[in-house]
Amino acid sequence: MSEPLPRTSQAAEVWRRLRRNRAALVGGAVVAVFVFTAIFAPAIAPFAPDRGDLGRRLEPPSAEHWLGTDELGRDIFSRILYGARVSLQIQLVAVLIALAAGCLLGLVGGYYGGWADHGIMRAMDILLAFPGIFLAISIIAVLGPGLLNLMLAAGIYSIPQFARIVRGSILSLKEKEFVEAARAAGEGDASILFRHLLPNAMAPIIIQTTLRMATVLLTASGLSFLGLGVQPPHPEWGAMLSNARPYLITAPHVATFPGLAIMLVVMGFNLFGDGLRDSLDPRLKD
Amino acid sequence: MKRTLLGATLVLAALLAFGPGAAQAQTVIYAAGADPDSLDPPNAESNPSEAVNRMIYENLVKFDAKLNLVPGLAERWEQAPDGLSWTFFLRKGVSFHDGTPFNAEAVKYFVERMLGPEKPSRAGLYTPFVESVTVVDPYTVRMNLKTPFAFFLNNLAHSASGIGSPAAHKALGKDIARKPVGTGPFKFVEWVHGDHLTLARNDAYWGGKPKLEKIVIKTVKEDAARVMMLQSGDAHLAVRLPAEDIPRLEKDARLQLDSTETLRVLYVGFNCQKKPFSDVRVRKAFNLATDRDSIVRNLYRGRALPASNIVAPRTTGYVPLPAHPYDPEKAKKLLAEAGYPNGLKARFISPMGRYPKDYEMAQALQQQWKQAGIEVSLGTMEWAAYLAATRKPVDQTDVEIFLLGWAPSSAEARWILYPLYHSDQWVPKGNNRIFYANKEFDDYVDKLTKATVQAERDKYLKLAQEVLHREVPQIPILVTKETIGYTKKLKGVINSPLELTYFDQNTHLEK
Amino acid sequence: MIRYVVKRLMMLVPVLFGVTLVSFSLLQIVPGDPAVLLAGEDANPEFIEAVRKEYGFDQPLHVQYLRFVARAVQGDFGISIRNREPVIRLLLQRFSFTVQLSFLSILIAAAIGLVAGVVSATRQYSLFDHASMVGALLGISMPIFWLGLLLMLVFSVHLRWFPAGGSGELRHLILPAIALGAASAAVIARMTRASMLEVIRQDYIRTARANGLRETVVIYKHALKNAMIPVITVFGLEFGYMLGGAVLTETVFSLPGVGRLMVEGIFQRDYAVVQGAMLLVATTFVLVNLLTDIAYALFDPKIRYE
Repeated sequence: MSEPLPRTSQAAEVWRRLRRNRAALVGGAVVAVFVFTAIFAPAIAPFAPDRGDLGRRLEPPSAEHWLGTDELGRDIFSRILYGARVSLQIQLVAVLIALAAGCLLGLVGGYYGGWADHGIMRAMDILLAFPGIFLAISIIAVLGPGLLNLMLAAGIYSIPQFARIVRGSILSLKEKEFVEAARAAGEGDASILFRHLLPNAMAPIIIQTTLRMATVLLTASGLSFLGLGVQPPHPEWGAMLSNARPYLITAPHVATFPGLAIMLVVMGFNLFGDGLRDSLDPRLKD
Repeated sequence: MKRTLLGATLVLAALLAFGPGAAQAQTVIYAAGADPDSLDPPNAESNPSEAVNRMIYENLVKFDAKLNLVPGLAERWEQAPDGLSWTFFLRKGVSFHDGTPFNAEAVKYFVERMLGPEKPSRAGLYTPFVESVTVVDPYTVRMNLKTPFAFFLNNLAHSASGIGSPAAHKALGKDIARKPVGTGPFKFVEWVHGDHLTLARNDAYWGGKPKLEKIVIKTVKEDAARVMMLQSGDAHLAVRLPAEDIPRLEKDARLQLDSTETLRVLYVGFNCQKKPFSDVRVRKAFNLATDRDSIVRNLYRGRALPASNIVAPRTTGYVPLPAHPYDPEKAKKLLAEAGYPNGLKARFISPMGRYPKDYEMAQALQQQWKQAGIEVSLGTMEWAAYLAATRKPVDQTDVEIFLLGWAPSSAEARWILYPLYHSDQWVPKGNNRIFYANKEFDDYVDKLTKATVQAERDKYLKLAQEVLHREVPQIPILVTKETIGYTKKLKGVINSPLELTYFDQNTHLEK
Repeated sequence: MIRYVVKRLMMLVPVLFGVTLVSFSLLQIVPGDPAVLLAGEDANPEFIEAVRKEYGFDQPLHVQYLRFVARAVQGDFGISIRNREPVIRLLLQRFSFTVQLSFLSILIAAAIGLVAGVVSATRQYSLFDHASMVGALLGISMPIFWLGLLLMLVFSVHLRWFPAGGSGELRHLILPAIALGAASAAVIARMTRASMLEVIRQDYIRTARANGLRETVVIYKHALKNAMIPVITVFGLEFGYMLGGAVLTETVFSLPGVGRLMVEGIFQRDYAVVQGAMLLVATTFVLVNLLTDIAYALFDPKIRYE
């Protein structure tokens, strides 16, 4: 095994750099709170997310309902906490789909080159021809609305980014000595791909995964906002925002808080991702 | 250099793309909640279309503000003593917007179109009843019926019976749906789908030159946006105002608000052929677990009426029935009696955004029923899919409980009782989406349909409505109210209980 | 240069093939008989058969595909079952609106992004720099639809500066354009800043400074010109994202654009419209990218065309 740096010291170095990056720490903290909330929502939330009191609709924030009540008299704070669960679930599944498919395609394309590479990259070009959220909407158009399809759409939507990044790394890594060495030692392609190339391409993959969590959240909540994703009464932030629209004038807080939640979490992942990029790969900075 | 040129071109292009907004004296901006579907009355299925069609087209018989039948394009009419034929004496000197004269031939053409192979979507108003049409003389036309029909004139006053130009229909065929030609006070100018529709005054209108010159109907889906347009003066009139905004808008001295009780009842339907809903005790349990007062008071802020009858009070043929009580404990008992001591689970679907607060109401019902041990999963679909799902035949449907609204656009009770509950009207043929079948009930409906004496008609109307009250094949929740707002300068706005807001020749803007 | 353009054009072929294939396959993948999907579920059998014949749904798939492409090339996307209008007419009406909106957005985004980026770069680590980078972070983190609602709340409801709904005039487009352009402004600002910082550190700028040229001349004549080159590529990409993001903006502000047309098409199962919108937006985006790449090649003398 000949790696550029022993892994332990590399990790320590990254951690040292990350610790000095205040923005990244803030981002990491937001992400940590988000994940914590998602896991422990039932324990933290003061009310059940689907329990409403029709007599107390659209109430502004108060000591009892910290963020007020929504159009059915449900506690917005509790719904936002439970919404973290829904969001994290969507993000994880979507990013995992993208990660698995994207890495595989990128590895194969980058390593074998030639027609495989050409075909894969053209396929990615086709996906990228549908700009931004439009790709996810097009996928929903084919699959139909719903939570499962939403995750799938957000996942497929992110495949090209992973494929391109992995391919790029593999292209530069495959000429390196340690690959030659492994090949000379008689290791097969699969072993070289997964035991040598992939681990060395981890840095950009980790960065991309973090940043993609942000994009997926924006996309998924956008789709739910349009009515193409999670349907109420599930406490999904985009869907909550969408339902709050009729009350924009009379009860603006109902639309404000779910949006704030989305923004904070997206910002957290963005900051953390940027911070990781600076720490994992200082050359990429600015 | 290249870049500046490019930049300048972009800016110029962007500027050219926006024309200046023209402001005219007697131009009214009307903010509607949805785009019309068809401007061909026999094929129009939605309120936004019908409201526009009421301005472009006219009927032989019209509804007045109280839904009484008054002369329209027919000055008067006579019913034969056996109830089998109706003779209409037409107004003279009327012509369509394309210059075609309006006469008995035009009426004949219209009715035969309804009866003919084209099968317009509203053909059902005519085919079961009308045998043939005869031109007696150029301004007299006779319709011969297959059976007597108590509410025939109501069908003629239905929005779908707006009479169009035969010449235009011959020339355009299906395209008439987007190039309408009628006799009404306003004629069609343009329709940019999803954005706006423009009508202009018909200078040759037989009822006198209309006062409004131009009507621009804008499609503004967002409730909040319609409210804001009304307040800022970007619209003279806005329909479907959300209940929450009404108290605030009422304080605005420049605005007039008008709340009209409609004929629409929102109801929850069951698949009556499927267990457990085939058991009347289960349906009654749902009914007892429904707190209508809370929904009306809190969700609708009082802008609706709790309903105990699928027929709304302002409908011709309405019979007042006792209110359904709210009693979740009794509901539990009934469920236990029916063999569900631990409650039951079911699927419930509701449209979202079709009726005011429909999905919110469904969520509220979900919560209320839970108190009685009924757990329903709630789902929604887009409207077209929703209709399709509730229109599947009995052996294919997987719908258990659904929320829907019904308003008879002919303003009479038969157009509720027959299509929704008669056993020969099971979907997909009719509109009996609950697969209700009751011989006694069918018999009453058949009898009231053919009644030629009003007392007899009313007797069976009452009996039929009492059956539904007893058997609760569906649970009526509430009667909706339609609230519109407009600038006080706008006079003569018609806000019909048929959920149609429109203008006539007398509508005008004060300086 | 010409060789580069030709080569770039050649690369379009597989992508356009893929795009047409994807929108074609929509009807094949959605459950149900494609003829019934296109004709509408309540259409009469004769009409459904007519549609089947016309589109060749009784033919093998590759024949159907070729027909689809042949029709699309002629601008024939079928008839909308909802509006009973030729889809191409709806698309063009709505698309021109979305393009206007995107244009205005990109103008706003470019103006804000370039100014913020340049000033931030020239005053690195100043208060302005920090503020605009925090602003940029907010810009990329804020959901478009939420920003749109907030803008509406502040500028339409409370300040009443702009109308909340309606269309047809420039004033109707300002708020939607800002909502749509915010994220792009952020990306452009970041990109410009980074690119400027890199250029400022280059030798020839140092030389220019050393030669006593005024700072503004150095910045605007030399640095900005070179820093703009990578920023150009961003424009093309961002314009594409606007075409996509316009779906959300159009929904929030009730605007009649192609994005909303597509979403409504999905809801109403108006598959001809959905197909047409997919094809139109993707093709436009591909062409915009082509133009951007060519512009990039024109502006950057260093790029090699092989």
